[in-house]
Amino acid sequence: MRIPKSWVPYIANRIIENLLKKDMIEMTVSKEQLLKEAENLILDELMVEDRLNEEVRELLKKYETEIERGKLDYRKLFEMTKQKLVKQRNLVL
Amino acid sequence: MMLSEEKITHTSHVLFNGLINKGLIKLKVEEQEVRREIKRSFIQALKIGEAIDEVVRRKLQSFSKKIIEGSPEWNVLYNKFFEEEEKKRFGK
Repeated sequence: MRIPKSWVPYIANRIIENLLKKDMIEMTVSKEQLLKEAENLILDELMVEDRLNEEVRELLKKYETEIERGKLDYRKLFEMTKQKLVKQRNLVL
Repeated sequence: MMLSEEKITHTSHVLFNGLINKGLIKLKVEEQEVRREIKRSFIQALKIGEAIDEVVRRKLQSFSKKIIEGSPEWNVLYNKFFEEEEKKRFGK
Protein backbone atom coordinates (compact mmCIF):
# COMPACT_ATOMS: atom_id res chain seq x y z
CA MET A 1 0.00 0.00 0.00
CA ARG A 2 1.41 3.37 -0.92
CA ILE A 3 -0.04 5.19 2.04
CA PRO A 4 -0.12 4.06 5.69
CA LYS A 5 -3.21 2.04 6.60
CA SER A 6 -3.81 4.37 9.53
CA TRP A 7 -4.76 7.15 7.09
CA VAL A 8 -7.74 5.25 5.70
CA PRO A 9 -10.20 5.99 8.55
CA TYR A 10 -9.44 9.71 8.15
CA ILE A 11 -9.93 9.60 4.43
CA ALA A 12 -13.27 7.80 4.84
CA ASN A 13 -14.34 10.12 7.62
CA ARG A 14 -13.44 13.26 5.72
CA ILE A 15 -15.25 12.17 2.57
CA ILE A 16 -18.46 11.17 4.38
CA GLU A 17 -18.44 14.22 6.66
CA ASN A 18 -18.02 16.56 3.69
CA LEU A 19 -20.83 14.88 1.75
CA LEU A 20 -23.15 15.17 4.76
CA LYS A 21 -22.13 18.73 5.60
CA LYS A 22 -22.84 19.81 2.03
CA ASP A 23 -26.18 17.97 2.14
CA MET A 24 -25.30 15.88 -0.91
CA ILE A 25 -26.30 12.48 0.48
CA GLU A 26 -28.74 10.86 2.84
CA MET A 27 -27.65 7.89 4.96
CA THR A 28 -29.76 4.76 4.87
CA VAL A 29 -27.71 3.08 7.61
CA SER A 30 -26.11 4.36 10.82
CA LYS A 31 -23.19 6.74 10.46
CA GLU A 32 -20.93 4.23 12.15
CA GLN A 33 -21.82 1.55 9.63
CA LEU A 34 -21.48 3.93 6.72
CA LEU A 35 -18.01 4.99 7.85
CA LYS A 36 -16.93 1.39 8.34
CA GLU A 37 -18.17 0.38 4.90
CA ALA A 38 -16.51 3.39 3.26
CA GLU A 39 -13.28 2.52 5.06
CA ASN A 40 -13.43 -1.08 3.83
CA LEU A 41 -14.12 -0.05 0.24
CA ILE A 42 -11.16 2.35 0.21
CA LEU A 43 -8.83 -0.07 1.96
CA ASP A 44 -9.73 -2.91 -0.36
CA GLU A 45 -8.96 -0.80 -3.44
CA LEU A 46 -5.71 0.56 -2.01
CA MET A 47 -4.55 -2.99 -1.31
CA VAL A 48 -4.96 -4.18 -4.90
CA GLU A 49 -1.22 -3.81 -5.50
CA ASP A 50 -0.26 -5.65 -2.30
CA ARG A 51 -2.45 -8.59 -3.27
CA LEU A 52 -1.05 -8.59 -6.79
CA ASN A 53 2.56 -8.55 -5.50
CA GLU A 54 1.75 -11.52 -3.31
CA GLU A 55 0.21 -13.38 -6.23
CA VAL A 56 3.26 -12.70 -8.42
CA ARG A 57 5.59 -13.90 -5.65
CA GLU A 58 3.57 -17.12 -5.46
CA LEU A 59 3.60 -17.55 -9.25
CA LEU A 60 7.37 -17.12 -9.41
CA LYS A 61 8.01 -19.83 -6.85
CA LYS A 62 8.01 -22.41 -9.64
CA TYR A 63 11.07 -20.70 -11.18
CA GLU A 64 13.00 -20.75 -7.89
CA THR A 65 15.66 -23.15 -9.14
CA GLU A 66 16.40 -21.19 -12.31
CA ILE A 67 16.49 -17.95 -10.33
CA GLU A 68 18.89 -19.43 -7.79
CA ARG A 69 21.15 -20.71 -10.59
CA GLY A 70 21.24 -17.21 -11.98
CA LYS A 71 19.48 -18.21 -15.19
CA LEU A 72 16.62 -15.78 -14.55
CA ASP A 73 16.61 -12.29 -13.08
CA TYR A 74 13.98 -12.27 -10.29
CA ARG A 75 13.35 -8.50 -10.34
CA LYS A 76 12.88 -8.41 -14.11
CA LEU A 77 10.66 -11.47 -14.08
CA PHE A 78 8.62 -10.03 -11.21
CA GLU A 79 8.00 -6.74 -13.02
CA MET A 80 7.14 -8.45 -16.32
CA THR A 81 4.68 -10.83 -14.69
CA LYS A 82 3.13 -8.02 -12.65
CA GLN A 83 2.68 -5.76 -15.68
CA LYS A 84 1.13 -8.62 -17.65
CA LEU A 85 -1.48 -9.19 -14.94
CA VAL A 86 -2.16 -5.44 -14.59
CA LYS A 87 -2.88 -5.25 -18.31
CA GLN A 88 -4.96 -8.44 -18.41
CA ARG A 89 -7.14 -7.36 -15.49
CA ASN A 90 -7.27 -3.63 -16.26
CA LEU A 91 -6.02 -2.79 -12.79
CA VAL A 92 -5.16 0.72 -11.66
CA LEU A 93 -2.20 0.72 -9.27
CA MET B 1 0.97 13.12 -3.60
CA MET B 2 1.60 9.55 -2.56
CA LEU B 3 -1.11 8.20 -4.87
CA SER B 4 -1.35 8.93 -8.58
CA GLU B 5 -4.19 11.05 -9.91
CA GLU B 6 -5.43 7.96 -11.75
CA LYS B 7 -5.49 5.89 -8.55
CA ILE B 8 -7.33 8.64 -6.64
CA THR B 9 -9.93 8.94 -9.39
CA HIS B 10 -10.33 5.17 -9.59
CA THR B 11 -10.62 4.69 -5.81
CA SER B 12 -13.17 7.52 -5.61
CA HIS B 13 -15.13 5.79 -8.34
CA VAL B 14 -14.97 2.43 -6.51
CA LEU B 15 -16.12 4.10 -3.28
CA PHE B 16 -19.05 5.87 -4.94
CA ASN B 17 -20.22 2.71 -6.71
CA GLY B 18 -19.80 0.64 -3.55
CA LEU B 19 -21.85 3.03 -1.42
CA ILE B 20 -24.63 3.17 -4.02
CA ASN B 21 -24.68 -0.54 -4.88
CA LYS B 22 -24.79 -1.53 -1.23
CA GLY B 23 -27.67 0.88 -0.71
CA LEU B 24 -25.83 2.78 2.03
CA ILE B 25 -26.61 6.26 0.73
CA LYS B 26 -29.19 8.10 -1.34
CA LEU B 27 -28.17 11.04 -3.46
CA LYS B 28 -29.68 14.47 -2.84
CA VAL B 29 -27.84 16.15 -5.71
CA GLU B 30 -26.56 15.15 -9.15
CA GLU B 31 -24.33 12.07 -9.25
CA GLN B 32 -21.53 14.05 -10.86
CA GLU B 33 -21.45 16.52 -7.97
CA VAL B 34 -21.10 13.70 -5.43
CA ARG B 35 -18.34 12.05 -7.44
CA ARG B 36 -16.46 15.34 -7.63
CA GLU B 37 -16.85 15.95 -3.88
CA ILE B 38 -15.56 12.46 -3.04
CA LYS B 39 -12.43 13.03 -5.11
CA ARG B 40 -11.90 16.53 -3.70
CA SER B 41 -12.24 15.27 -0.09
CA PHE B 42 -9.95 12.35 -0.83
CA ILE B 43 -7.20 14.68 -2.06
CA GLN B 44 -7.74 16.97 0.95
CA ALA B 45 -7.38 14.01 3.35
CA LEU B 46 -4.23 12.80 1.63
CA LYS B 47 -2.68 16.24 1.98
CA ILE B 48 -3.41 16.20 5.71
CA GLY B 49 -1.81 12.77 5.99
CA GLU B 50 1.24 14.01 4.16
CA ALA B 51 1.49 17.08 6.36
CA ILE B 52 1.41 14.87 9.47
CA ASP B 53 3.97 12.54 7.93
CA GLU B 54 6.29 15.49 7.34
CA VAL B 55 5.99 16.70 10.95
CA VAL B 56 6.65 13.20 12.29
CA ARG B 57 9.70 12.68 10.06
CA ARG B 58 11.15 16.04 11.09
CA LYS B 59 10.67 15.07 14.73
CA LEU B 60 12.45 11.75 14.20
CA GLN B 61 15.31 13.43 12.35
CA SER B 62 15.82 15.91 15.17
CA PHE B 63 16.87 13.14 17.58
CA SER B 64 20.54 13.24 18.52
CA LYS B 65 20.62 9.45 18.18
CA LYS B 66 20.08 8.57 14.53
CA ILE B 67 17.35 6.01 14.00
CA ILE B 68 17.33 4.05 10.78
CA GLU B 69 14.12 4.44 8.80
CA GLY B 70 12.19 1.18 8.65
CA SER B 71 13.88 -0.29 11.73
CA PRO B 72 11.52 -1.63 14.44
CA GLU B 73 12.42 1.34 16.66
CA TRP B 74 11.72 3.79 13.85
CA ASN B 75 8.35 2.15 13.11
CA VAL B 76 7.27 2.24 16.75
CA LEU B 77 8.21 5.89 17.14
CA TYR B 78 6.74 6.85 13.76
CA ASN B 79 3.36 5.32 14.66
CA LYS B 80 3.43 6.85 18.14
CA PHE B 81 4.19 10.38 16.89
CA PHE B 82 1.75 9.99 14.00
CA GLU B 83 -1.05 9.16 16.43
CA GLU B 84 -0.08 12.07 18.68
CA GLU B 85 -0.16 14.48 15.76
CA GLU B 86 -3.50 13.07 14.58
CA LYS B 87 -4.94 13.60 18.05
CA LYS B 88 -3.66 17.17 18.09
CA ARG B 89 -5.32 17.93 14.77
CA PHE B 90 -8.50 15.94 15.07
CA GLY B 91 -8.90 15.68 18.81
CA LYS B 92 -9.39 11.92 18.51
